[in-house]
Amino acid sequence: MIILATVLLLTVLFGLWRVLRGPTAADRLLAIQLFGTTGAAFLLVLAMLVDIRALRDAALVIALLAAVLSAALVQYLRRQEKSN
Amino acid sequence: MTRLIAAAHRSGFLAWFICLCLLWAMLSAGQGWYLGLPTAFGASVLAAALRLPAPRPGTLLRLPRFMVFFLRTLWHGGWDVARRALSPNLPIAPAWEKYQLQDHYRDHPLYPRLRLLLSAMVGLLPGTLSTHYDEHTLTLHVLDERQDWRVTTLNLEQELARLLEMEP
Amino acid sequence: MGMTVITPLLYWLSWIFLLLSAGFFIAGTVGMLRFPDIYSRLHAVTKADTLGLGLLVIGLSLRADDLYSVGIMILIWLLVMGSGATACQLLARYGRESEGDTEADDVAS
Repeated sequence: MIILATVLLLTVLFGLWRVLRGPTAADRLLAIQLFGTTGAAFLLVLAMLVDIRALRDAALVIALLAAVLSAALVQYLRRQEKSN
Repeated sequence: MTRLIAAAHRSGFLAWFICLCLLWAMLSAGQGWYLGLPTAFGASVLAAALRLPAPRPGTLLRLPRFMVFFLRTLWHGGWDVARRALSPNLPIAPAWEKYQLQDHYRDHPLYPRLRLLLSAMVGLLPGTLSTHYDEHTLTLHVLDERQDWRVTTLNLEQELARLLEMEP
Repeated sequence: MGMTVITPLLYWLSWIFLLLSAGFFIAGTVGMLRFPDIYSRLHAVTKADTLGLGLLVIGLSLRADDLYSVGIMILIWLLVMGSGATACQLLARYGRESEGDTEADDVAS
């Protein structure tokens, strides 16, 4: 289980390389998707590993946030580009 | 009293209220109803006032068949893209394509919802990704144009139409 | 009684699902790093990671203590699937807009 959690964390870390490198803004926004899905998965594994129920609720909140965040950021960036 | 219940049923309030109470039971492990019931009640009133489409029992009955189809294609989609990502020579041939929706659903009142759901779910099928749609066509990004993506999209469209009870 | 046979079986079955899910998460990230453009990367992250989370939820559910946690995990999976399906459309549309819509339309037709 610990190894599984580490692997999940590593996939997020390597994914960050794409965020740093870009090249487009949409590439960077991919990180929200990655964080939302893999982050929720990591928290679910952690909840099982250390037996803390609240971590499952945290995973739920991450999933909810990711859903709203990418929609909001895309909308925000679009509006900014239009005003330029 | 019966008239009140009938009105609650017609407006979709009742269906929403039942679903939201079930959701609360799951989220809170069946505790804290003094908070849960008013919240579910308020949200249901809001849903009925905004005329959100209520969950229908007929759709629930059709859901298992759809889920079987959906989970199967989800597996194929994930497997397909994972295989391509991990194979050394990266076998992809991206292209932009148009997908025309079937004619015989066009006059149905649920057509916009079918189009919306298809556009969203096509992203989980093997090799397809929707960017936007006009009246009758979806614009898709295809991961490999040699792949038979048109058939999978057509299958999804038919299964969705069956789920929404749009079949003629 | 029956539990003594079933529990280890479920335990090993859950490991199969967990290992598979790790494979899909790895593939998703590899695809995100290797694929040549934003749209192909979206394919990788959306499909592989959603499937990975689904398999992980099945694997963890097989060794869960109570039905409530299973329910919450399934709910999380549905939520991630819904948000992933919407977000990948939005991002793809945004990508096309920022690279110039006319060019993209030429490619499409």
